[in-house]
Amino acid sequence: MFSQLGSGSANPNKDLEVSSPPEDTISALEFSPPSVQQTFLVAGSWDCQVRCWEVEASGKTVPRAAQGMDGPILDVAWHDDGSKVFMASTDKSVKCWDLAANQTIQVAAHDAPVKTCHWIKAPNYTCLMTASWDKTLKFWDTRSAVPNLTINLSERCYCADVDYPMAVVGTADRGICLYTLEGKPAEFKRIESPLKHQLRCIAIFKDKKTKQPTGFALGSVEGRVAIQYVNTANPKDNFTFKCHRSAGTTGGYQDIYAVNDIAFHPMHGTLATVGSDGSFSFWDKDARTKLKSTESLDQPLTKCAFNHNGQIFAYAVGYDWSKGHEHFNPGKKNYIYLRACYEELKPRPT
Amino acid sequence: MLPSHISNREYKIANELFRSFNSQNTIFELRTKSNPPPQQQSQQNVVTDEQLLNQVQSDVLAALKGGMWILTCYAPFKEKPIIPGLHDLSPEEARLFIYEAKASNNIDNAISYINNHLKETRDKYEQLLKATPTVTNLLRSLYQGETIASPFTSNQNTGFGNPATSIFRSAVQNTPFQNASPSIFNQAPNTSMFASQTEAKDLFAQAANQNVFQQSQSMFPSQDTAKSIFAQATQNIFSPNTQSIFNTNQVSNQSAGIFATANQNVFGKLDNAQQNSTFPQAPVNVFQKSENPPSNVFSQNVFSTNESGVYSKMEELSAQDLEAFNSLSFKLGFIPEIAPPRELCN
Repeated sequence: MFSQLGSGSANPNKDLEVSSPPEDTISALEFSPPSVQQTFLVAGSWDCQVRCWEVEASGKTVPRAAQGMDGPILDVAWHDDGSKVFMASTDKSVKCWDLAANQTIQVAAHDAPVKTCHWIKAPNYTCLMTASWDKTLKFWDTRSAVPNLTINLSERCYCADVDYPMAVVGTADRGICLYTLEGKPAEFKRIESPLKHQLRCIAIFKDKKTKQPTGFALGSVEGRVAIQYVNTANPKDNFTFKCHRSAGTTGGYQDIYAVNDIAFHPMHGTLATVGSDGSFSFWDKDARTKLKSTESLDQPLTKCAFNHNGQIFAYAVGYDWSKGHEHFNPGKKNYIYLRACYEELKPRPT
Repeated sequence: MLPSHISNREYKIANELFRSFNSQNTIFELRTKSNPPPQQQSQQNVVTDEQLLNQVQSDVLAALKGGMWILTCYAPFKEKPIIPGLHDLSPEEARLFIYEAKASNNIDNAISYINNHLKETRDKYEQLLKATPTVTNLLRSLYQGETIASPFTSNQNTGFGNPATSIFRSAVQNTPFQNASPSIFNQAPNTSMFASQTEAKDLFAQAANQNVFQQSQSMFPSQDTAKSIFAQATQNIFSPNTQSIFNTNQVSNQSAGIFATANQNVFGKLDNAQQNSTFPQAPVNVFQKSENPPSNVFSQNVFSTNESGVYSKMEELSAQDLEAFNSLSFKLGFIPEIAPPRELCN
């Protein structure tokens, strides 16, 4: 009874295909930080591998290296100096991949699969933040066997984001908790989710003027995104909008797809969403308008990322399990596409 | 019969919730506290049971008919608790469950487990579509922000006689994937599906006595030393170094990049070599193509409700249950854990 994504084609938006893509669904996608002169893209996958490509100005991608873990990868994060990549796995560990030496070493451990990892660079410390289905959030100096700080979560971590001095974690059963990273990490505030169903992705956005983190966008399985400010005098600033839905075939009901990832453009402050429907969209949250919608691909989009200067938008194509194991076809190829996006994400003129 | 304790603010919030589901075409539809209340309200300052039920029915129908991921919690009313008994299981958790079952040759059991879990959850959502006193009371309590027990009867015939043995139940309520209680996978009674997975090598085991910070202060010093704990962090690993995997870059043929619409091209210093470089292949892919395609778990008609399993029989009720069902509202701590009998549902 479910409509299939049969109508979409492989690359309807005519974007650039990344060479030698992962052999199973891409679960994590991150560009190198500005400290690195070249542009590298790393992707974690359900095939237990993390791969690294160099992205050339021509759009050509050159595979550079890959590393594996003992279970599927759930997240990756760059060290701020671009020398290392952290890889979080269902094998309950996080490893640090030294790119120059092409060696890995375990730097964190949990009692259950590790869902997210983020590198924190504060003025007075740096550390790795990991969050797990074991309902804990941990902070590691990466050289010690024990975390420097463990904070209990209300539930299993489903998504997290970090933009110093703010961290935010979304959990099962709609939990959201904000943390301040100033001085040392500490719980700041628990927030009631404005969405009715399971959280799937979360992304911090900055204030336009101060350039400081001021709120976050939340995506859920319900084809809806919430824009939420941390401190706002006007509750009207917070709103939700529907996306990744399509005119349904079932008696006038819309097909509802999950919002699988949200990314904010580093220069414009506009945002991209990708969904189980196989499409990506660009939005201007301040003008509350859609900047661009795209044709659906024939598979879901699982992850997206902007490079540090906002020239490149990358998105990953593959099965996201949104229709269960029945619809998993391991023979179907996974893709990562690159798109020149700087102009398309310019905010609507005011 | 309309409760007098519903505040004007709550009334407005509920109205906004109702409104938000009427517009299907607006991209940005507000769900804020400041929307004016709609005009169709017959009563002032109250939310009727019917409105609560309508809201939930609208949500549940949209979710079931729209093909939404159904293993999700559900909070029908803004800033109020989730429906008890419905908890999140993410696609990733379900996927890992299947992958690890496959790795340990337990795929059939895992699939039937997931299928049953889906059916059970779908049944629960379908129960919410019915305007029974249980559902009405549940929604009323939720709306008032009360913490309540799960209204769902666990004696439905979904193949799980004892829900406590379900490893997903434990995954939802306790630490996931560590449950060592008897699982449905009877071949391995003392280990859960996930426990049989290779344990992460704990390379920290012997390092516990060597905390690098034993002699120094905490990694979160109170003053801004601005010093990274990474002594070598300032060294650029991409500097020319014949051992580096990144050392092949040469300044050559810096053509105008397709991404280079900014003032300067950040994609400088690229090489044209290495075209045929590929990743080292992983030795084995444990997760190759699945065999035994399972029956379609998502093909059940969401509206084929089996009413007979929903109600309790009169004789199953204790005197206390009967009193609770016959009263106008449930008292906390005295809410029956079984479904009402059909006789009391009209």
